[in-house]
Amino acid sequence: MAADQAIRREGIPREEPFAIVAEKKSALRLHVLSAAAEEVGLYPGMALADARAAVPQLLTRTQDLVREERLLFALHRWAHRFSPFVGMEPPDALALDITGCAHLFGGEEAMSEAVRAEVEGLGFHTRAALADTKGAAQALARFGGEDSTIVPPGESPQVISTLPVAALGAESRHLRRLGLKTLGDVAQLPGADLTKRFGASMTRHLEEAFGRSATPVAPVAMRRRYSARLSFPEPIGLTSDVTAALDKILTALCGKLEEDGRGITALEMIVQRANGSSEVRAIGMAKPCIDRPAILRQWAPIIDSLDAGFGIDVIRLVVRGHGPLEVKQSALGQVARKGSLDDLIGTLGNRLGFDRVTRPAPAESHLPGFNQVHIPAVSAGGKRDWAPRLAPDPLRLFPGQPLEALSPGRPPERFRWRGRTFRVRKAEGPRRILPEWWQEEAERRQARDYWRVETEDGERLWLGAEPQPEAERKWSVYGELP
Amino acid sequence: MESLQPYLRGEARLAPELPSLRFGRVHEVAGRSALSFLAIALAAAGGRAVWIVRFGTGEPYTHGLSAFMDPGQLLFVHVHEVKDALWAAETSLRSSSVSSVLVELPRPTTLTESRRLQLAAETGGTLGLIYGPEHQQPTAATTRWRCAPLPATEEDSTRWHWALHKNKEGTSGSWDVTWRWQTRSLSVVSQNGGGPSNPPGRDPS
Repeated sequence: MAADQAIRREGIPREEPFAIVAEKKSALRLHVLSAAAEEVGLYPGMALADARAAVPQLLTRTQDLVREERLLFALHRWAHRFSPFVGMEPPDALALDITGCAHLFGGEEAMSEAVRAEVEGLGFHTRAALADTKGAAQALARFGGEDSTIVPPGESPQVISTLPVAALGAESRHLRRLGLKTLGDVAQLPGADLTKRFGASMTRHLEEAFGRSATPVAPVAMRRRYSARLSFPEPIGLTSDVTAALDKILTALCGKLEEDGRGITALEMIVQRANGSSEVRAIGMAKPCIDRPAILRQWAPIIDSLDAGFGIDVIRLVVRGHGPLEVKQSALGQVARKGSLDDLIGTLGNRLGFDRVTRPAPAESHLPGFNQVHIPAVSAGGKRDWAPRLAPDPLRLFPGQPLEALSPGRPPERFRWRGRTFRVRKAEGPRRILPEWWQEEAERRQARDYWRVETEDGERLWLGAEPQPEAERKWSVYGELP
Repeated sequence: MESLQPYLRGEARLAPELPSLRFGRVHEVAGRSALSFLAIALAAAGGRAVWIVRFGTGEPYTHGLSAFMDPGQLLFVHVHEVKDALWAAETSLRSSSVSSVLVELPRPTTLTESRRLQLAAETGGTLGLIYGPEHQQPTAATTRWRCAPLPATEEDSTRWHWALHKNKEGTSGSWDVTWRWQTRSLSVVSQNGGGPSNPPGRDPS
């Protein structure tokens, strides 16, 4: 499949030997081969150097797992035309449960041919097998040696028995040495002994192939994509036109989303201008939302700043994030203030960044500054139980502003800070705050003694110093008390 | 009347003896213990509050604030520039989804800026609080408070001197107030001054 994919993408002639190479056992080896490459005698697992020596004109590409996975997913989506139950069997197979579907395509045989013909039409070599169970079909497709197999109902075990032991996975090479050549030979042996000797994976393969353990087709949930576009007969450029177009696209999108009970959290707009250039803009919403006016309000500043150039030809909206829609019922007798908080968070977040709009939550730490966290206002979660303080704690924390001690003392009797001189009238302390004992030594923060200080002008400050000998003790202001 | 939400009553009451802070108005607060005043004002306004913080001015400490108010109601907006702070304040005041908006500014607002904020507050019916430096310049704010710390006279209490310099819609004055930590209550100790701060028709702003 991967080789076909590369051939398709890059237009490599099919007659040329071609292979995908991957690093295995610390050497580049052939991984997937095109039909032409197999014909000239190359085989998977061959070292690339050997292959090059034998076939100098061999074309290769390195393996791209991400692209392969994407292709399989795309084929999986495509295969829904044949059956609603399509499972992915990585790296290169699809499993279709065609129960009740075959008659729509004129019987099993015709359907199998139709599937093969269509996939071949896309440029991929295929092997198809139809059997009672997924395990049997998979074993037949991979190891049956024929391009198309259909096993009549109830005959799977007999057909499977003739398959080579290679179908049993990596451990099967030992079987061959024992003189066991087909699955039928292996199936006669007691299962427990087999497991003991070759591991559970081989027994599992065997059970699956013979349909003794359930291997249902697990349909991959379809990730629904929501996107819509609008092309204009004449390029548009007015703000009001763009807004109207967006509204129209959103009507379609929101309708689809509402049916599925989803709401938009992130939305991308792709604008294609008449001169061929394009621009991508994005917004976020504080909560899953399908309220068109609310979404348009978030777009408004972006539309204003949009450069229409010679006019806009196409606008496309792609929903990049969506979440379950919350159904709300307003409580009786509750007087709600008009305007929504989510709307405000969205407006602030779209201009300043959603990480700049936060709500505080208590965090588990003794250290001031570490016992509160700011979590983005858009996210749920975080604790909300604030223990009320009965003694004055600072209202504002400073990251430690050093002060100049003008006289000795704990805390200094006179000091200078922010260009002013203070004389301490009253000091309360020390309150030593230690880091948690479980902190790693490296990230351990210093223990510190804190004092509440009231100066002669009435200023109330939170002083702190690390517990050190008098001479080298450095005082800082860590906060502002009520 | 007392059982009504503060915003339905139209004002946030700090203490029975003190002038209330009206919703739909912008109030300026300055001074060395302005933060306590602001925390008490946010609590009096009830409901959600937006607090616009500028980077580098130190972080509001919610464990300390929790003595005066419920920090769960706070929504912080962190900005770098005055321009952004003013924009965020105006947007939040106008949105009417929060009951109060507190914005920290490094300089006094200009007449235009304060008028914009005032109009936004009127639109949203929101209580606007500007925390900035002391100044004498004309602005569109309705009241101007200055808060200074006073040395404590009793155990377990904190005293402040709150002066209302300007009040477009009432009398000015100054008060010594005490916060009792055990009961978490505010009481007015002494009152001085009084009378209209700006005779009608001679309002500088």
